[in-house]
Amino acid sequence: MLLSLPALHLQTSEYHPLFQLPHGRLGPWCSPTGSPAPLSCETGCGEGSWILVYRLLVPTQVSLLSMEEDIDTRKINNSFLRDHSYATEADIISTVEFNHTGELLATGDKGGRVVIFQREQESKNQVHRRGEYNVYSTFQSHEPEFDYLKSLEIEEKINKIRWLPQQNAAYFLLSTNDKTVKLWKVSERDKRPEGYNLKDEEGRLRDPATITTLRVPVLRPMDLMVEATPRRVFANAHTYHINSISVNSDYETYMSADDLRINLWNFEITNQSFNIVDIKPANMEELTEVITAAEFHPHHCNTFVYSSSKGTIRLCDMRASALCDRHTKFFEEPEDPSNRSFFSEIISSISDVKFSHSGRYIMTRDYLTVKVWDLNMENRPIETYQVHDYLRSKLCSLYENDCIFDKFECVWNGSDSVIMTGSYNNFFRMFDRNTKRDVTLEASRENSKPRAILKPRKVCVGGKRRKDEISVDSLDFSKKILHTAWHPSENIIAVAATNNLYIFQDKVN
Amino acid sequence: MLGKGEKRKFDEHEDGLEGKILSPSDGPSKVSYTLQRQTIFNISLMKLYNHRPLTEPSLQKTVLINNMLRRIQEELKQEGSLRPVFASAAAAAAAAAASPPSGAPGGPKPEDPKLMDSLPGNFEITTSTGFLTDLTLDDILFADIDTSMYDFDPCTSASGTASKVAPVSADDLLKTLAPYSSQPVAPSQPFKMDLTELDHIMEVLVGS
Repeated sequence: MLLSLPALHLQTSEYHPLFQLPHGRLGPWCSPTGSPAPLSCETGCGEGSWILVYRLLVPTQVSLLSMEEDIDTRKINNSFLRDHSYATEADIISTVEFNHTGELLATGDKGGRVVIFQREQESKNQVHRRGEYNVYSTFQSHEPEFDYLKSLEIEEKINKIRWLPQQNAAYFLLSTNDKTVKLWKVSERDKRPEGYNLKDEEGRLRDPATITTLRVPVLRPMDLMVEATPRRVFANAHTYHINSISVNSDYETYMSADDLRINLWNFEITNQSFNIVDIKPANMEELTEVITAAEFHPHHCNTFVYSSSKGTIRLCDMRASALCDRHTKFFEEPEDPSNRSFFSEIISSISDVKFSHSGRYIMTRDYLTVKVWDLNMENRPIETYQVHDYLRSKLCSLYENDCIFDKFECVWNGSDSVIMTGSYNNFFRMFDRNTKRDVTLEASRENSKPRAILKPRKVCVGGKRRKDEISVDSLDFSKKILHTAWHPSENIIAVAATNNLYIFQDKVN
Repeated sequence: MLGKGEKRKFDEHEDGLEGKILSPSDGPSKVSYTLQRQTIFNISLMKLYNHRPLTEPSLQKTVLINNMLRRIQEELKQEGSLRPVFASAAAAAAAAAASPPSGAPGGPKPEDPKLMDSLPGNFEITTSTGFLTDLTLDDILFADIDTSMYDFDPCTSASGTASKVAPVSADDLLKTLAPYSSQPVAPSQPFKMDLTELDHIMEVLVGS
């Protein structure tokens, strides 16, 4: 489906200076001020001129509003900010991904839409201003479908987006819902041909009798238009729900993983795929383990890993056999007997697995921890970070309200020195692997004052609660940060909090 | 498996019931442990059968809940808490004990094909007949089900032991359940009554 949208070039206010923390490598995270344009992402507040909660309106309507007076726009936007009734479930962001240069940021939502943001070119006049992210393109990637055989709906929710490396002027990305993967081409058009012989300027066919001369159409400049077109549709290859897609380093193939199978595709071929992993038992009653995530090695195109609901990671080499049911490496940490409970298996289920940029490590996220594994050591992780261990005593409640099944993602920074993951109450956590320092931050409009740096948050576990601390029982479990992304080379992060997208940058001198 | 004889420590954060593993062999905490296990068992069953999603339920979630149920069933079996209500059930239990491998996966047999491949709404028809065919695990499943929770009058059965156990967990759910729990070792009821009660309960749960 084509949705042409003029690229919005928005005004931005001047960049503001920030405080520097006296020590520690993790700089203060702040929300830079930004433009009042409605579709840009909220980056904390600046002077009350901020956006929001994005995607409250269809893009075209909102862009019309932004063309009018700025002051009115601010007022309108602020009122949308406060009026939560506009937020619908379809606006819940379900995936966030930077492209390989960090120039583009894509988000997918529960309504099957993809919104791509583009970083503004840094202006040479204003040296201190960092590029802001503005809406570049919006399109409907997937529509809801109905499986007639099972009488069930197939959700249009975008589970994952993965970018392809840029090879020409156009951008390509893969987006997937539960059943179908699509390759989208996003390209710019700033010229259009004029002077056709058979069509007039509006595209209507001319009466042949009136054509008396011949001319060659010429390309004339036009307003920049960004088009998204589906180039490939990879369908009907998954019986179960797709949870991961991963582009191979050969840029010719990619894999899609569902609960029980992993398929290998060639980008050019949509009507067949290779099944490379199949853990479906002959007797479904014997099923006790499912695949939860999968990823290709960043450099070795024959290697990939997949994680399971039992807390194990398998590394497979496609050169070994066509069907990689026998792993090359098997990563599992022995259970800690002192922490055993009814919920041990459930909280050990891995919700995300990510290779480091170097390809030497993998990071896994289970319900309470993030673990870093060295590919050369299978018997235990080299690092374990507690994300929210205070939830260990609440597991029964979290089981009952299904929160224990929440799938948190985790990300590396560009240099693999810091890892980040989300938590509840709109908190997200960062762990510096070198200094072993960690910080908890909150992505919330209410707490972001204009020109302020994000204040580290703390959860108080018991005993006396200090001022500014929040007690475990006051945590809002409906506000969960499942999806985050880190710019590939800079300290810019994107955090999805339900239907809000936050972009934070660290301070620059 | 679960339970290794660790004593539950008194602990300021009141996470005793959830945080640490309780041993079924300890005296006073055995009931707490059993209560917790029962609660989790009930929650798990409700999760599997209580909702009618328009979309396919998550296979991962279903598998994890199923594993939870199986583990609890295994544990109950190992504790020998089978209470045959029929003589034939006793014979079946003996047979099942003799052939554990077939018994264990066979437990959720009526459930599994339904869980994995078919609609969630077919519960009433398939499982009631399914349970009839596998009496051994029926005893485990139904004998331990605390159906008083679904009764609308407060349970005032002989829950003396349970009421003596001070709620040790900050978990609200358990606190709510404590006054309503019947003893895990309730006197056996006629199997017939269990079935009709179960049908009634399922009707309530499914909302038909």
